[in-house]
Amino acid sequence: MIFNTITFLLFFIGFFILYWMVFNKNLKLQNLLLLIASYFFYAWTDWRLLSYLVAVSILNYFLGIYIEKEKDASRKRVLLFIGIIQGVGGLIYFKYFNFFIESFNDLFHSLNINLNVQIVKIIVPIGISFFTFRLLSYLLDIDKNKIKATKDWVVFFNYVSFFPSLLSGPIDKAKLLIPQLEKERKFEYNEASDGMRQILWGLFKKVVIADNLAFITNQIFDDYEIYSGSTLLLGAFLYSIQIYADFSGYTDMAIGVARLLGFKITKNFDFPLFAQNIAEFWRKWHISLTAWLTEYVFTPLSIKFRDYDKLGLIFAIVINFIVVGIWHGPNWTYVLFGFLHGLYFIPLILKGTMNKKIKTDKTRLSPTFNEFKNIIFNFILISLTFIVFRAENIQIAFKYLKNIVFYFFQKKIFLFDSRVNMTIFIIIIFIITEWLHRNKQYGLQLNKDKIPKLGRWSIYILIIFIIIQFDGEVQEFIYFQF
Amino acid sequence: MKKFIYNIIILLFIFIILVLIPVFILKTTSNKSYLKQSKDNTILILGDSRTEAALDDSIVKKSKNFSNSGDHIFFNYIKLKKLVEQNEQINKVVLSFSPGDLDSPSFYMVTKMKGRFITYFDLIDFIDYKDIIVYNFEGFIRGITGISRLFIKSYEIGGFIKLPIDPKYLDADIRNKTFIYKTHRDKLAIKYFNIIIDFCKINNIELIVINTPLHKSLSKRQIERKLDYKNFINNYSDDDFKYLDFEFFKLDDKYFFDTYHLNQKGAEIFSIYFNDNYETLIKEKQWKR
Repeated sequence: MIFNTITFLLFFIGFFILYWMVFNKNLKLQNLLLLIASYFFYAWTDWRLLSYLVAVSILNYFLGIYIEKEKDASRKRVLLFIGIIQGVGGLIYFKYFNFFIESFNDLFHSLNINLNVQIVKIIVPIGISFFTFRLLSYLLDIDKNKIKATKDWVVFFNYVSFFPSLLSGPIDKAKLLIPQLEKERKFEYNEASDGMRQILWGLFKKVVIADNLAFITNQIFDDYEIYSGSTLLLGAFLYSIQIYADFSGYTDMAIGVARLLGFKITKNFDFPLFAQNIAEFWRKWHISLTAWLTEYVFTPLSIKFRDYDKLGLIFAIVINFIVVGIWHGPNWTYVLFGFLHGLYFIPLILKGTMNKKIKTDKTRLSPTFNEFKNIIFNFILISLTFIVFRAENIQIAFKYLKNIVFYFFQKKIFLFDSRVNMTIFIIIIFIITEWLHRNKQYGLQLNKDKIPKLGRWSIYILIIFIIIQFDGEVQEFIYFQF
Repeated sequence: MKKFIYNIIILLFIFIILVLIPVFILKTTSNKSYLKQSKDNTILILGDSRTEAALDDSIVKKSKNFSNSGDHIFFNYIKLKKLVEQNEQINKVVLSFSPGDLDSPSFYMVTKMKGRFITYFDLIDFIDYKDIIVYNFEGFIRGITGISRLFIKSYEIGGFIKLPIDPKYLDADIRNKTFIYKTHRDKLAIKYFNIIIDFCKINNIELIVINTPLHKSLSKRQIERKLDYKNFINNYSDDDFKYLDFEFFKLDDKYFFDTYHLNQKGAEIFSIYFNDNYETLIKEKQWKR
C-alpha cells in the first residue's frame, strides 16, 4: 500500500478510529491492532511476501532473548552470527543472487567461457533492506548491552513491521521505537496537527515536485543520445531534486503518519540540497542509513585502520560508501555511486575537516556568497553522481557524462512547454520555502506566533489546490525498489 | 481529539467545495459544439492507439477518426453515444477491437483513468459514473479532483496521428521475445462491447470491427491470446457487426513504428487499401476466415 493513494486513506481512517477511539484504553490490544494493520498494509501488495517478514521476526525475537540470556561469550557470538547470517544472507539471496550470477556470466563471457548459468525468478520482499537493517541493529545492540531484548512479542513484531516506516524507512533504532511501543500513548493535538502538516508537505513534494519532474527527467534520461550536453546536465540537476522530493516526501509522510499515532520516529532528511560539502550532505541525506552505517561499518573500520592515519580513514570511508551503494541494489551503478561519494570525502579527510560542522546562520534570509558558492558546487558534484545512480548500467552512465562534455551546445535542446515551465516555477517556490524553513523539522513547519490561523489555513488550502491541479502521473516511490 | 477531527472535517469540506465548483461550472456551461461534424462525415473511426495511428481520415472517405491512445472500450462507448447524438448523419462505425482489448487492464490503472476521466468528463453521463466508481474508485477520485484543468485545456478526444518513421522503436520491440499469455477476460470491456453492438443496432448504424495490422514478430508472441480472441469474436454473427482482421496485412518492417503500430507511411498505405476495399471485403465475408 502506498501513502499517496485513496486505498491508504480509507485504510488509515478506519485504523485511526479504531486505534484512538476503541483500543486506546488497553495498550496490548492497541499494539495488537497496530501489528495487524502493519501486516495488512504490507500484504496488500503481495500477501506471499508477508511470510518472510513474519519468519524473520520470529527468528530474531528468539535470537534477541537468547543473546541477552547467554553468559558464554562464544555461544553468544554464535547466536549473533546466526542473526547476521540470516539478515545478510536474506539480503544477498533476495536482492543480489541474480546480480552475482549475471556478473559471473559476464566475467567468464569476457574470457570467452560461456557459463550460461540461469538466473532464478525471485520475488523480492518490499522494504527488505530497511527491516533487515532494523533487525541487525537490534541484535548488535543487545550483544553490546546497549539495549535489553524485549520479551513482548507484539512489541518486537511491531518494531520490525511498523507500517509508517516499513517500506522505505527511516531505519529506526530499537532504543528509539521499542520504548514508545511499550509505553501508553496519548493523543496530542499539537503533535497530530503538525503531523498532518508534515504529511501535506510530503504529499506536495511527492506528487507535485517528484512526479512532475519524473515526466521531464524520464524523457531526458531515456533519450539521452539525442539531447545536448546542456540538456543532459539540466536533466541531472532536475533528477537530484526529483529523488530528494520523492524520498524525503515519502519520509515526511511516514513521520507524519507516525506522529498521528503518537510516535516520534527518526528524522531522515535535513534539507540536504543546502549542504555545503559532501560530509554535510551525508549528515543531512538519508540520516538513518548514514547513522546505521557509521555505527556498524565506518566506526569499526576506522578503528581497525587507525594505525594508517589518514590513509586508514580514506579506506574506511570508501568501503563505507561502497556499502551505501550496494545497499541500494544489485547494480554496478550503485557501487560506482557509492565509490564516487567515498572519493569526494578525500579532500576533506586530507584537510582534516571531515567532521567539522559548518556554522551557518539559519535565520538569515539569503545565503552569504560563500555559502551560495559551496551549496552550488556541492549540488553539482552530487548531481553528477546521481547520473550514475539513475543510469541503467555503467556504460550508459559514462556515455551520458561523455555527451555532457562533448555535445554541450550540440544536438537537441529540451523544449520548455507550459507544463515544464509550470514545474520549474513550482520547484523554485519549493526551494525557497525549504530554504526559509531550513532550521525547522520539515519545509512547512509554520510558526504559529508569526502566521495567524487564517494565513496558515490559506496556505494549506493553496497547497491542497496545487496538489489537486498539478499532480503528475502517479510514479512509484524511487526508494521502494531498495 | 474533538478539535482535531473538527479541523479535519472543515478542511475536507473546503476540499469538496473546491472540487465541486469546477464540476458544476463545467457541466452547466458545456455546449458540446466541438463534437459537431460536417454532414459529409458519415463514418466514425473509434478505438485506441492502433486505429489512431493506422487510419488516416483524410484518406478514408467520409470518415472522421476519433481514436485515442489507451482508450478502453468503455470510453469508446461514451464517445460514440455523444457523437451520434450530435451527428445524426453517422451511419457507419469502424471500431478497433483487438486481442489486447479483450484483457485490457487500462481501465483499472489509476493513472490512465485520471487522464481519461478529465478528457471525457464532458461526455460522461451520470449513469455512466457507476461503472467507473465500482471498477476504479481511486481513478474516479483522482479524475474528479483534477477536472479544473479543463478551464485551461481544450477537449481533445482523439484523432489520427502520424507516427514518425524511426526504426529504433520497432527494433527494441522485436528484441522482446516475451510470450504474451492470455489473461482474464475483461468483463467490463465485454459488457461495453455488447452495449456498443446494441447501440448501433438501435440507431441503424453499421458496425465494422477491425483488427489492424501487427508486426509478424508480435503475432508469434501472442498465439494463445489471439486464439482466445478469435473464439470470442466467433460468438457473434454478421448481424451484430462485420469483422475485418488485418493482423496479417502484408507490410514491410519499414512501415511499422513498433510491433503494434504503423508509422505514417504504413498508415498511408493501409488507409488507401482500407478505403478501396473494405466494402468488398465485407461483402466477401472476410471475417469468417
